Amino acid sequence: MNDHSSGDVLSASDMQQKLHVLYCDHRAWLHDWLRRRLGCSHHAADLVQDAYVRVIVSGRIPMPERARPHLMQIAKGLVIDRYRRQQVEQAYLHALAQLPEPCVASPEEQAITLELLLRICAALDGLPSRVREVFLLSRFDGLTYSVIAQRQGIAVATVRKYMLQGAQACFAVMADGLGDVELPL
Amino acid sequence: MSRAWAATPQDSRIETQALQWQVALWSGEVQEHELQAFRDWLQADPEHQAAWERVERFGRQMQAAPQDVAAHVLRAGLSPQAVQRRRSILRGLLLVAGGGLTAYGVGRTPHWAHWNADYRTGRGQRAEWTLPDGTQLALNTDSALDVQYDLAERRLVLLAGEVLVSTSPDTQSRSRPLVVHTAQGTVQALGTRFLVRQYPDGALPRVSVQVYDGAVQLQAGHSGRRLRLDAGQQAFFNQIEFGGLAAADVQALAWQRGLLVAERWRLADFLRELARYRSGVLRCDPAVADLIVSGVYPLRDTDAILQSLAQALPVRISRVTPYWVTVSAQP
Repeated sequence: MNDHSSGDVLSASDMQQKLHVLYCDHRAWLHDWLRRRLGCSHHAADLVQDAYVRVIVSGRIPMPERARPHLMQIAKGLVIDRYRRQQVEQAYLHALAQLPEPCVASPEEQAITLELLLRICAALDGLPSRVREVFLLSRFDGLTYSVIAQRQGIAVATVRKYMLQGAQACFAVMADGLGDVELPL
Repeated sequence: MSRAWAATPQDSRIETQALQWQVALWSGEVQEHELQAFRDWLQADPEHQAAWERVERFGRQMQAAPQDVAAHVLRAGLSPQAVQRRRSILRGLLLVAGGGLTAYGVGRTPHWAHWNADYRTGRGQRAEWTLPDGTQLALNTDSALDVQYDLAERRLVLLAGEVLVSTSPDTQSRSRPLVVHTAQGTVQALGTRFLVRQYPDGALPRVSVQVYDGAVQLQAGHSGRRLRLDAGQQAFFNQIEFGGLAAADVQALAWQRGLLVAERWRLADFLRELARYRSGVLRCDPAVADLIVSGVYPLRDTDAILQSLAQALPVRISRVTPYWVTVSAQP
């Protein structure tokens, strides 16, 4: 998204001033744009706030003529994140509900596991589907590389290449924030 | 994404090497000479050691989710359809079918008929029966149902609560329709499996219907208005109108396996649902009503569910008596 930004290094007060203008000029428009896509004014309002938080965190205020495309780009990402969260959460609850009752984890464990799965899902989302599938077959179905290679009709060297892509994507999202939370099994 | 250690190209190169070793160790068929090469690499440089520790921690995190659950969830979340749906929402398609956040008022006025009903369950109980014609009934907590079969109709009268009906073809020579009667109208089976739940008088008296197989025909009160619901659909109705047409919710059946499944429910709604399975009063302080609850909870011990809420959310459970429980904000 940097190409949408001014790229200037701004002083704190300068930034605040520009942010204020960005907020006043485009908040209502962004809310309306999101509301039409989400069909819900409350969700739209939440995402408007999130979008501005992203702008603040990034520390880059777009030039006035790039403001709308820039905000729209951020908002699109937020809508996708939100929808992915719903899909993953729903699938997780479905999976949990299939477990025999004594195996159901505590709510805290459920929350931590869900956060982990969301991150993995977001990380793998951007990869080609064949890379994703190889990564899932290895990490979550427990297949060895030669079995995966045979099943997918590719060379073991290719499996390794795909695995590295998957690992790099997941490592990038995992290293950040989830910290040392050791998950209960 | 702050990865402070990946600050220089050198660090990032070592990190990639460490990840390559992790990928090698994940193969499930590591050769001894590879292990030796890995040990040599670790010994060669303290930076290698440090990078490996980070990657190793990452490896443990990746394994932390139960494998079968994780595989299922990630495949669902990353399926071409799921990815496609995510992309398509931005092109203006409807975001969510169903939504699932239904708010309802569950009153506590037991119908006198409840106690004389042919089939009934108490708070926290559930039970199943097979009727002589092969129709299977499963009653959820605090429910009551009368069976009135005659020559013209197989009539099930839902007096209170929730019933799952699985029909079978009528054994009589002349096939009679199977109809569930509720306070708000009727639900006629068209060869099917469906769930009918009566939300008693209160804020929103209504009946919800989920169809899992076949189809049903709803009739709202005496208005004569009808609506056909097919497998995979849900809707509710009262004496006047229909509403809430959406995809059927499979989780609405979780009680059959003794589970309560909450998918981003408001705490107030969650507690109202939980209260169905408990004796006594369960109050929710408005200050915490909008907290969000997700999870799968065994209904066997509702006190334990309350306890786990107190651990997961900033709430306090106070008991005036065992039958009067209030959930409020933590002081």
